[in-house]
Parts: sequence; structure tokens; C-alpha cells
Amino acid sequence: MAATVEILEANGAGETTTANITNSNMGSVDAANLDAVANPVVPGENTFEKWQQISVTALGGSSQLDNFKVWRTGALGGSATHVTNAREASYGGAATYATPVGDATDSTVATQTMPTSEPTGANLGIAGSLAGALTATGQSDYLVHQIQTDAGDTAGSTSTMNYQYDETA
Amino acid sequence: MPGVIDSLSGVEFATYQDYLDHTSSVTGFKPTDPEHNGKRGLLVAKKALARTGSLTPEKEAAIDANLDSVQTNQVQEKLAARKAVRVQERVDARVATRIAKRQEARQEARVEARRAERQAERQAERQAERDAQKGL
Repeated sequence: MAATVEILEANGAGETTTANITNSNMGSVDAANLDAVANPVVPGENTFEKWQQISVTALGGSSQLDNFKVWRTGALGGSATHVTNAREASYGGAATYATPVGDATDSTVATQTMPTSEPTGANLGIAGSLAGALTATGQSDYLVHQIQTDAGDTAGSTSTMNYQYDETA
Repeated sequence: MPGVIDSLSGVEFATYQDYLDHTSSVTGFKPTDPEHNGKRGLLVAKKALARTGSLTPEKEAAIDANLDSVQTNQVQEKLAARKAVRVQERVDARVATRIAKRQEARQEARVEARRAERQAERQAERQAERDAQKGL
């Protein structure tokens, strides 16, 4: 067997967790699996932050999972930027959950540009460290990301979020 | 971790452990079972093992057995059916929102028309009063 992994997303002031999210759609509401068509971002404003974790629900006979990487493939609309707390150097440690911000508010946690190709090394930590590993069921640090748009941008772009881990038998 | 919602079924659990222990009404497997995430989850696991040189023939055979189980238990079909329901729910919600907005706009237009009508009536009444006073 192999390890079983899923992505969690936390929302709201109460940190309600949605397990095994089916998409990472971003829009003008703080919700998991949101309908981006029904909740578009006003040009010039921001999507609500996503607070997500990679969760190992079972090791399936393997000894550890590590080297967590996240990146986006595909272009954003207009001159929008995609920011994150994920980074390969000077990692800021595990982010403490805070109610996701959006609309006119820029994220203060996601301040790095989201990579658009696979990072060389881990850019999402475990227990606050990029060198961390999960040797039992558990979660990565929070991945925080937000799309920030410009007034001239047009709504509606599709790109792919990639979440990757290495598994050792 | 406070309340947990299962993305697939929408069922809420008090704790993450409760969620992990339940058998999904969508897939027929627990979130801890390798079959739960369907074919894609198992192919991701294969690649994750291959990157560390851990994809031994035994491991690969075990994952292939899980893939057979996914097929036997029609997990892909069940996930696709759930996705179709979710898409339809979104479409229905969008239509409902559009209808509600349209009804709201019509109601506002009716109120505005009635207001304009009343104002015109009052103006006519005032004019009639003025005309009557001039006549006196």
C-alpha cells in the first residue's frame, strides 16, 4: 500500500475545516470549493486568502512523507499576482491560523510570489521547518495564498495548483 | 481542529478523527483507505514513492491491487456522479440567484412606479385646489 493524502482548507473566524477539498477556486468569498463564477473578484481587489494544509490520513506502510512543494501552472488574467507564504529560503515558520482576508485587504502572511514551476526544494514546511517530515499521520504547515488583481484585469482565468510530496517506504 | 466538513458528502463531524473514522457515503471507503481518493490518488502515491526510489515491485503490486479495487467498487463512477450533482447544484444556485435578483428589481420598479403615480396624483390635487382658489 501507499500513504493516503488529502488537502484540507480552513475558513471563517471559527477555523472550520473542509476535508479533502475538490478544488482550490478563489473568489470574493471565504469558502472552500467555492463557485468562482458566482463569486468573482472585483477588478482591483483581492480574492480571499486560502489557508490549506496537506494532510496525511494514513501512512499505508511507508515510513515518512516529506519535501512538500506547492506551485501554480497556467497564467492569471491581466496583471494579477498570486502571493503565498510558501518559500524555499528564509521560511517564516508555521503560520498561525487567522480569519482569511480578502476584497480590499492584502494578505500580510502571503507575501511571496507563488512559483509557476516546480520548486527545486521544499517550499512548505512541516512543524515549521522545510526539512521536516511526517512519520505518522498529520498535516503540513498552513499554505496561505491569495490572488491580487489590478483595476484593469478582467474576471475569469483558470490555472492549476500543484501539491507534491515525496514518500519513502 | 474544530468542526470538520467532508467535502465529498457535505457531512459535518465534531473532530477530524471522527471524519477519518467514518465510511464515506460517496466512495464506500474511509478517508484512510487508499481507494478513497480514486485512481488519481493512487497514481500520485506511485509517483511520490518513485521519487525516493521506494517504488519496489511489492509496493507497486499493492498499489495496483488498490487500483483494481477502485475499479471493482466503481469508485471513479461514484466520484464522477457526485461531481455531476455538485455542478448541477451550482447551476441551480446561480439560476436561483438570478431569479431572485430579477424579482427584486421588478419589485423595486413597481414600488418606484407607484411612488411616481402617487406624486403625480398629489400634484394634480394641489393644482386642482389652486385652480379652485383662483376661481373663487
